[in-house]
Amino acid sequence: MDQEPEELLYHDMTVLSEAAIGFVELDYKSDIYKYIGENLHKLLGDSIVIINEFIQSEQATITKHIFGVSETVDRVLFRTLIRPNPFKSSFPISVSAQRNLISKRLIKVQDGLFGIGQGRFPRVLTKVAELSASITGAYTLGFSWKGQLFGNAVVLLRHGNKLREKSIEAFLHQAAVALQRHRTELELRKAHAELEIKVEERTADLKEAMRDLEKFKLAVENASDLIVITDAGSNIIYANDATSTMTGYLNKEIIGKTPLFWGDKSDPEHGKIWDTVRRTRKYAIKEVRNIRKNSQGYIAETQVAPVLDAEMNIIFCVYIERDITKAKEIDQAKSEFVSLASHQLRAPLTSVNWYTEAILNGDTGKINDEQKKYISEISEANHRMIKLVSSLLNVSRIDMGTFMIEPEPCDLIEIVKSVVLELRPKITEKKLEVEENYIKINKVMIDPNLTRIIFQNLISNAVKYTQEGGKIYIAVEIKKDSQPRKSLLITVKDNGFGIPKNQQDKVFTKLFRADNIKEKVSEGTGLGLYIVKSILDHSGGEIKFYSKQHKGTAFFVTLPFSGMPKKSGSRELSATKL
Amino acid sequence: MGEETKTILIVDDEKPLRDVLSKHLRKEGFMTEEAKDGAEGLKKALETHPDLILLDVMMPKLDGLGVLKELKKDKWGQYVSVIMLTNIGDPIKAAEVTEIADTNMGISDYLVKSDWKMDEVVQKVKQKLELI
Repeated sequence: MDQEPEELLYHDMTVLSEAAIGFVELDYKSDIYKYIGENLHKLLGDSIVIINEFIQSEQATITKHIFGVSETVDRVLFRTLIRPNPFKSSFPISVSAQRNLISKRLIKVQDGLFGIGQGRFPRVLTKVAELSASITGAYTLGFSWKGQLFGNAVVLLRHGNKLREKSIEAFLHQAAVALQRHRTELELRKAHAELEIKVEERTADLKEAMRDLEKFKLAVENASDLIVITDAGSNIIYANDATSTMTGYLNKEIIGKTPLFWGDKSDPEHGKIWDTVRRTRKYAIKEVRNIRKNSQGYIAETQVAPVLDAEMNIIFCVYIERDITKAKEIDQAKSEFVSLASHQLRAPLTSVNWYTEAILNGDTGKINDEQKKYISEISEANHRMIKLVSSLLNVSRIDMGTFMIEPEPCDLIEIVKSVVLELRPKITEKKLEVEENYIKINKVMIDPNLTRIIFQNLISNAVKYTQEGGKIYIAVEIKKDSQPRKSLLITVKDNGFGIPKNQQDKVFTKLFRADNIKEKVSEGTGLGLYIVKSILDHSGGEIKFYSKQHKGTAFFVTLPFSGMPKKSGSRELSATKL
Repeated sequence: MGEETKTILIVDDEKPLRDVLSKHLRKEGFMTEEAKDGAEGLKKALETHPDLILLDVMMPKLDGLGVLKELKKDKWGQYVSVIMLTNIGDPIKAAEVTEIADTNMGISDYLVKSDWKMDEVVQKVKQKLELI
């Protein structure tokens, strides 16, 4: 019966080498379980090979493939006797069995099918099955990956199988290695594929960034403003084309030097912007005088934006310079024109003013009542014109942005009171009742001149547009609902003519005069509230009003308690003599 | 009046204004001198030593600020009372005047002509000369 040992060995070796070749050529895309099972069955010869997949979530296996069973054996062995439907119903694997499968991999199962079934099938049935399928031995092999069971193979040797145990072990081992290799390869492929997607995404991002960068580079290179990038020590590391156009210096002459190289050292502002940026680590803007290579001076608006690292250290700075010499000259010319024009307009107005006064005073002899009335009309018209000139001067300064705000500690209430005092003659003339209500406050940082203009306009409007015997209410208080930032609320209220509802949205526009008062009050330029609103817009304040025709008007001005911010400019607005 | 008559020097390049103001001041009991530009004004001031100068700013030859600067160099001139009377309604110029005038000169006023009645100007003059 027994073959010669050498012959047996030769047989085993042949099968083994075939197995090795077979498993090496494993295609990672194919159904690995089927492939392994098929190959094992082919190699092992007369045997039954069952491949199970372990399902982690169920802690059980489910059969994927069975090889080497005839129809009859199949029916007897699986469907009928032991597991009616092994492909659908799972078979629980205990934790200890799992551990065995992971650690030992190949296990020779004692007790044949009964042992395979972990004692869960009746011994009689397993015996019958064994006999009917001529099963002589049982092995199981665990497939595991990184300490996790993912399947197993059950090998049932049938009567007449000549393979020795060692060879079976070797085949199964090969199969396990092949499976592990397959798993590794799958994971590798997966990782590779993910990597490729990532690389593609990154490449797309990078391309997009490069395109953006290219756009930026083009924009910077061709900008008409001088743009320079400096290192932390403000030494130039990049300069755009406009740099040499503006300064006259070639790139190689200024790289490594600071932008102060072409600054006017006698300018008191020289270098200050860099000190500011170094101190505050924030963007700064300043007007300075610079000098071109050809010694020609120019006025530049300079801006420095620092780029910081996580520790707030300056890594580099972007320095931008714009030549504003021309714009300055134009502004200057406009501003001078306005000043000159107002001066020229005022000269003849003064003449009319003083000559009519002389006549009315009787300097030229006695005049009759009608003459007196006419001359008075001329005088009043002339006064309106004088005020209009002053207001127009202010409006042009507001519109050109040349007016300045110079806050200093001021007693706001003193200013309000002095305006009321100035208007006292008119108040008395119209028999108006004025109620004043002021809280005690410390000095606030406001521009006294601008504040005066605000109240001159608001209070004189109240006087002008209230009928004889009317009432005016003026109050300064702390605004109640302005937490946490306190502000001052100034109210100027009258029970006068009011503003028609359909014209209320035009109140702050230039040259607006309400229809209902045009007839009643000829005085008024239509510029006052525009000026007030503009001043408040520039000084952090606000103005609102409530008005009802025939009932009166209330203006509410809020000013931040912290005062007005400083605004530099070349001109002040002038408060007129009321 | 009993008191010594005070002399006012009006320096202004506009004849109509000089005329009417001069007439009004005389009516109020002052003596007046007139000059049609800054140079003439400075010369007359240093020659006649008026009690007060009404000084315009924008004038040919030498402007009001120039006159001030020159007056400041003079032993008498540095103490003279001056009222700047101009039509440049410009607080900047006003600030400049204050700066030039410093402490010695009796300048406290920078008046925009068109805003003031002659009567009010005369009041200012009287205040300055401590007549009221």
